[in-house]
Amino acid sequence: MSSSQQYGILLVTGMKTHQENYANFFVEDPRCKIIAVTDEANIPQKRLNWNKQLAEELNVPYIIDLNEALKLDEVDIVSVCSEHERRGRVTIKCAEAGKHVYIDKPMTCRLIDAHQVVEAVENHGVYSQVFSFIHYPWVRQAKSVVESGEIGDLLSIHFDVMFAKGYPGTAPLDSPRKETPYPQRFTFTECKRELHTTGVYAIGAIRWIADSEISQVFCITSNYFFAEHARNDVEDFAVMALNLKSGVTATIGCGRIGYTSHPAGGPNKITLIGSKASVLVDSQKPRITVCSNEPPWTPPPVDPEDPMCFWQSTQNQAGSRPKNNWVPIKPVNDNVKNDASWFIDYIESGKPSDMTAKDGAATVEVLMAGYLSAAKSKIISLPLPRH
Amino acid sequence: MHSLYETVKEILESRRVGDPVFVRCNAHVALENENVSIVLARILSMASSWLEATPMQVYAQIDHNLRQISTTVRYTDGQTAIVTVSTVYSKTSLDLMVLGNKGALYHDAAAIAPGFDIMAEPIPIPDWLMDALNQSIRDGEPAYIEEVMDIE
Repeated sequence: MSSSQQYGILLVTGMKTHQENYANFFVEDPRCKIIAVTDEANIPQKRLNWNKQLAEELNVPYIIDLNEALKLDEVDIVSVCSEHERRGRVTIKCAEAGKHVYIDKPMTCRLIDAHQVVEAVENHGVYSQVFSFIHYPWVRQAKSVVESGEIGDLLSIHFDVMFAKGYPGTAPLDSPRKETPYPQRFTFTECKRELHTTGVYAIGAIRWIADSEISQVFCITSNYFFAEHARNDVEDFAVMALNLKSGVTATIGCGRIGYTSHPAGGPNKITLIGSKASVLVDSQKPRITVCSNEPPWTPPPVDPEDPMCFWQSTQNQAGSRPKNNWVPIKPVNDNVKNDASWFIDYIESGKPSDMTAKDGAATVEVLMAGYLSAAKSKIISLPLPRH
Repeated sequence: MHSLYETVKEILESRRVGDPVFVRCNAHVALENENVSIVLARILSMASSWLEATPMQVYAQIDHNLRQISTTVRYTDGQTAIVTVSTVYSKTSLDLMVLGNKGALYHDAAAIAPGFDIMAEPIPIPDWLMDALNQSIRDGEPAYIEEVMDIE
């Protein structure tokens, strides 16, 4: 910890990434102090501008070269939100500099990079955490239901994670998607691979809830909703069937389904089937439904730099109001911690996170097996060959 | 008696949600004379009708005590479905989501009509679907409908 008795936080990559959210996480935690925003030195001008914009908003310096920023003694933790394709490389560099790493999901795009991140973290003895759903109250509720024994032995988990964003109805439906077995590119300005982006949450949570590794993967990827995804030959939706080493089975439905396809942010729920009972845990229940003469919700105008409205800044800029007909019922003790505060707690307690880089690597492996399965239309057994 | 099948079918035929592309159904049933595979095949038949598509590949996962079965289905025109049936719940419930390419419809698990009986829904189960399900259960691999039909 830095001399000010606060954890010094370095943010790698700025606006138009999840750093918009993670920066706020750290700002909200009084144990943390944002030191600077930085990135690799050779990034495109547009990325540089977005990075500087976050630094200005936070009123902290922008350090143009990550290598220089990592030399700062007051930096304890690096929050890494570089684009998927360079996230592994950046994370390794940060861990090798002896900094704890808070990593956006998915951790990497390639399994070899994921393994190298794990090696760097372990070799340098730093703490790591990959952002996930496992610290959300509804996912923790699912875990506690399983651990309480009230449903008996866990038999299966059925997880839906879908985001109701983007303007649907533009994808051509004339031919089924043909998946590539080893995808190289995952992110574009206008779209992202949605198995990689949304399925990662379900995979991470299923491993955690079942406390078991995944041994087999069957996956189908699709283009159902958006011309942007079809144009870039990346999926907007996927289904997965998983077999776990413990004997538990699981299924996942994930993707981006469009603004008009859900009354709130999208279906996010878990059905747990046990030997004695079943439980449905829904992120949007319990809730109050409000009907009024307010104008109906309408989607924000399309922003050419973020047509899927991935980022909070796009929504803020458009002045769009959130869907508010469903109001979640507040817990009695509303002391929910954000994911970054959980990371600080882990560091202070001397215990590894429940979603370390090693867990992130296991999740990446399942994602990669998913693409291979979708391309070959067959079950893929894990572990994947290291080469 | 209410027919969930026909109600969903009518909504989908109105094209309010565009072209149907995905069905997710988690059903909990108190079984007496039927087994989980037959109930699952009935719901899959409903899903196929809603999607106006023919299954191409069926992957079934079942627990060794036959208390729950899940099936992941790829359809010939690219649609997909995940259907799960479990018998461990004392009260019938059916959580349903049908995604269209422009919208979606949802049926809450707890909203089931009194007296609802999946097996009373007016939809037949093709023999080849049962054969494909049984083949996938037996082999632990996805079954191709075309291969099952060739064997017949």
